[in-house]
Amino acid sequence: MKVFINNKEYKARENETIIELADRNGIKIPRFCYHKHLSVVASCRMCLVEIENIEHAQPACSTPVQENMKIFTHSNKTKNAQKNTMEFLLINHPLDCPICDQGGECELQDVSIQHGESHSNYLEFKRVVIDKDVGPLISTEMTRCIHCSRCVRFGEEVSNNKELGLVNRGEHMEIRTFIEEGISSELSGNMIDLCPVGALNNKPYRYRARTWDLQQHGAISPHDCIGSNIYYHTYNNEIVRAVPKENHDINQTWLSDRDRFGYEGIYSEDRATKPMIRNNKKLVECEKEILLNKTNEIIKSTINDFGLDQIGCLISAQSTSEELFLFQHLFKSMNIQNIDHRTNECDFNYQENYPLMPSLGCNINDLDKFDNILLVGVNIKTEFPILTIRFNEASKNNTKIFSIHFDSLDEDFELAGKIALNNSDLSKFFDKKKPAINTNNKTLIIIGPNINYLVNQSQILDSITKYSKSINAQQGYLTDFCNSTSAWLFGNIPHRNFGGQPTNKPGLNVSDMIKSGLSTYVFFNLEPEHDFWNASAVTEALNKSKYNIFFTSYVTPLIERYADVIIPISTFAETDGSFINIEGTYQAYNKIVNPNKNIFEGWSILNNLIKMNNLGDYNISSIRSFLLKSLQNIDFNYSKNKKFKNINSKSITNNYIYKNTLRHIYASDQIVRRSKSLNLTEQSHNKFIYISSDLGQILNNKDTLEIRENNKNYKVKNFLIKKELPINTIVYTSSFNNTLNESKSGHITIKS
Amino acid sequence: MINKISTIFKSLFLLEILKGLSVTGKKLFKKPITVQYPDEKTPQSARFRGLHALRRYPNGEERCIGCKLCEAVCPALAISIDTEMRTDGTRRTTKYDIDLFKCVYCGFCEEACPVDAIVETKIFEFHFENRNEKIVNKFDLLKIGDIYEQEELKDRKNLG
Repeated sequence: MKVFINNKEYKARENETIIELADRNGIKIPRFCYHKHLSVVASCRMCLVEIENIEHAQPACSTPVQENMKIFTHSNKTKNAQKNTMEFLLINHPLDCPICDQGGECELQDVSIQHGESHSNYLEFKRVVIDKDVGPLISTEMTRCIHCSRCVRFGEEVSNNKELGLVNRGEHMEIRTFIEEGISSELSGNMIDLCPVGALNNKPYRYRARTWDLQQHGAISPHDCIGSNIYYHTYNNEIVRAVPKENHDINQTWLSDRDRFGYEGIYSEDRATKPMIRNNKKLVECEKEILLNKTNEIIKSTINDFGLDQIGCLISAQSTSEELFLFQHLFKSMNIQNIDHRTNECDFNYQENYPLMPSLGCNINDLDKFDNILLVGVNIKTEFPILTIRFNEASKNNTKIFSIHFDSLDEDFELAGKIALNNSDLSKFFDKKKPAINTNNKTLIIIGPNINYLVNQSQILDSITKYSKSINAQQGYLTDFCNSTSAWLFGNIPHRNFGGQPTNKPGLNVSDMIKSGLSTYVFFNLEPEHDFWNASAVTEALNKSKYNIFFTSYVTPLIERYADVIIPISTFAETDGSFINIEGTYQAYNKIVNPNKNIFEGWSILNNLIKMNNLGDYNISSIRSFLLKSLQNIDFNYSKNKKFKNINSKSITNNYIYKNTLRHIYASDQIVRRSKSLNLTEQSHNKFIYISSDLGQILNNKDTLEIRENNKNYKVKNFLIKKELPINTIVYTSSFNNTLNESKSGHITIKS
Repeated sequence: MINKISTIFKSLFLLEILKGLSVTGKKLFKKPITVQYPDEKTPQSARFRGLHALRRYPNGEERCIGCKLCEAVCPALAISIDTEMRTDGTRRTTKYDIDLFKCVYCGFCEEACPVDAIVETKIFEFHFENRNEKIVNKFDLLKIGDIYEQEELKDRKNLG
C-alpha cells in the first residue's frame, strides 16, 4: 500500500495506523497516550496530523492508513493543532519541573519545547489533586497527571491487575486506586516508566539524583531465571535506579518490581567488606596474599590429611557463569567431586535422568503457541512475575493454562483449571488419574521450583516425565536461581563434569555432604541461614567441621560464627558476568559499579587460586570465548539418548502431615532479601503459616500449633486456616519465617 | 605641498607637545580620581558578581530545592550538589559545594536558579590561607547569605 508522508512515498502494511508507519520509518510524531504495547484510546490528541482532503487534523494513533493517503506531519495546520493541544495540556500542569524527578526525561517537557508555545493564555487558578499513598515503590504527584491513562491500561491489559482507574469526569477527573490500599501488583514499577510526566515516580530513587547526571549500564537481571534485560543507572559509582532495556524476545519493554528494586540489597549494611581469617578463635582482618595462602593451605591440608572426599564445595546458582565455571574447574581439577549447587533440594534420586540442563522447553516468545500449558508447582505471580505478561498474552490467544500445586494460589492471568494436591497425591496424579489431554494438541508442562523442595521430588519428576511422553508433550523447567542452567551445564553437580560428561566416580550431593559431616566446607555466595533445604543441619555441619571457607558478599551471624576464612566477593553488579537464562540464551554484561577496594571480583579471586595451583590462568574474555566455543560442541539432546533409570524415592503415604514451603517473592535470593523498599511492600507483610481445614479441626480452636519434626518441637502462633489447601498440609513461605527452619519440606506430627 | 608646509609649521612651533601638555595641565588642577583602597572604595554596580551566597526565605527556610540547574549550567563545573528527600518530604541538598578557583563568576548559576537561592554578592575581597579553603560548602554559603541578605534585597530593588 502506497502512503505519502510529507510528500515522500512509504510502503504501509494493511490495517496499520499512521503512527505505526511513522515510527517504523523514523518520522517523529509527538504523543502521550499512545504506547506500542497498549490499546489505542486517542485521548491526549497530541498526535494530530493533517491529512489531505480531511478538514480537521486527525489523531495519528487511531487513524488507519489508506491507499494514496497524503499525511503532513510538519504542515502549518498540524503545527497549529499541536500547539493548541499543548496549551490545553499545560493548563493544569504545575511548573515544578525543578523539583520533579521526571525533569530531564519528561515527555511533556520535550514535547512542549518542540511543539508548544512560550506563553499561555490561561491566567486562572490551576487545579490541585490530592496525592495518594500507593505503597513503598511508587511516589505520586497527581496534580502533574495529564490523564493519558497509560497506567490504567497497563493494569487492564498487560498485568491484568486492575488497581488504578480514572474516576469522575471533566475538571474533577483523576487517577486513583479504587480501594484505599495502594498498588500491590508485582509489576507495578512499569507504571513509572509508562507515565509520560512526573505523576508516578520511583519512590526509592526520589530526589536522589537528576537524570542528566546518571550513567547508564546495560546488564542482566540476576533475580530470576528469565534473564530480563535491564539498565542500571549509576550516580557517583552507586546504583540509584533500574529501568528496563527493551528485548523483544525476553522482557519486551517490561520489568518486574523484584528486578527493578532488588539492587538495593547491594547496599545492605551486612556486606562483607574486608578479608578475614580466624586466628585463635577470633576473626581478624588480613591482606589478600595471606587470605589466598590460608585458603589454599586449608584445601591442601584437607586433601592430604583427610582425603579428597572430605571436602564439600557448594556454590549458589546465582553466581555468574564465569564464577561457576572457574569454581568447578578449580576443584574438579584437584579431583574433588563433592560439588553441588542444588542447596534447596533434598531428594536427588532423579539426577541421572535429568536433562543436560533445565530449560523452558520453548522460547519465551512461543508460549502463546501452545494449546495447553500445565504449570506444576509454580506460582507465576509470585515467582516469575515477568512471565505473567506472557501467560496473559497466551490465555488471550486461546491457550488453556492449568495449575497443579500443593497450595491454591492466585494468578493474574486466566486459569482454565486449578488443583491443589498434597505431596503423595501430586506424584500419583500423573500416574493414575492422568489428566485427559488430547495428544494432538500442543502441550507444555512446566515444572516449577517448588517441586524441587519436596521430599518426593524424584517421584513427581519421574511420573511427570512419563506422562508428558505419553501425551507427546513438551517438558520444561523453571528454576529458582538465575543461573541454574549454567550450574548444570558447567558441571557444578557431583555426577557430571563440564558439558554433561559423566564422571567415573560421582561425588556426594548437597544433602549427603551436610549429613555426613565433612571436615572442610567451601561455600560460594551462599547464606547458610536461608539458602539451604535444612538450615539446622547446616549449622550442625558447620559446627562439626574443621574448616569452613566462605566466599561471600554478606556476613551473616552463622558465617561470622563458623567461618575460618571470609573472602568478600562482589555481587553481580560489581563484576563482569554472564547468565544463561532458562531459554538457553547466553547473555553477558560488564561491571556496573566498581567494588569497594577490599571486595574481590568472584572470578578473579577464583582465578588467583587456580593460578596458585598451576591449573591455568584465565581472564574474562578468555573464559567467555572458551565457554561459547565449548557450548557449540555440546550435544543438547543429552536426555533423549540416555536410558532412564528406575527411581527409588522414599515411600510416601497419605497418613503423614506435610509441611511445604513456598518461595517468597521478595526473599528469593540474598540480594532481594536485603532490599529495603521491597521489604516494605504488602507481599512482605504476610508472614503467616497456613494450615489445611482438616488440621484446623484437629486443633480445635487452640491458638498455638505444636509441631514435632525430626524429634524437635516447635510452637507456632501466627497460623491461619486456609480452606483451599489439600488435606494434611501446612504451607508457609521460606526465608521469611525462621520458626520452622528444620526443613523446607517434610513430614511432621501435630499435637492435638 | 600644503601638507609639507603644515608639517614644518607644526614641528617648528612644537604644537603637538603643547597640545599634550595642555591635557596634563588641565588634570593638574582637577580633583583627583584615585581611590585610597582599602580606606576608600569605588562604587559597585547592583549587578556586580562577587562571592556566592545561598539565600533563605523570610521564615528561615533555605530556598535551595536542589534542582541542580546551577550545577548543570555552570561552564566551569565549579558546583557540585547532592540531594535527598528531607523527612518532611521536600527536596533538599545534602551537599552544595562551590570551588572558587574553578568559578569564573559568570553569574549563570544565579540566572538559572528558579527560586533565587544562589546569588553572587558584591563581596570581592576574600582570601584563603589553605588551599582546601577554596571550596565553600553549604553551611558557609548560607552564612554568607544570612549576613548579606539586606544588601541583596537593596540591590534587587535598585535593579527594579
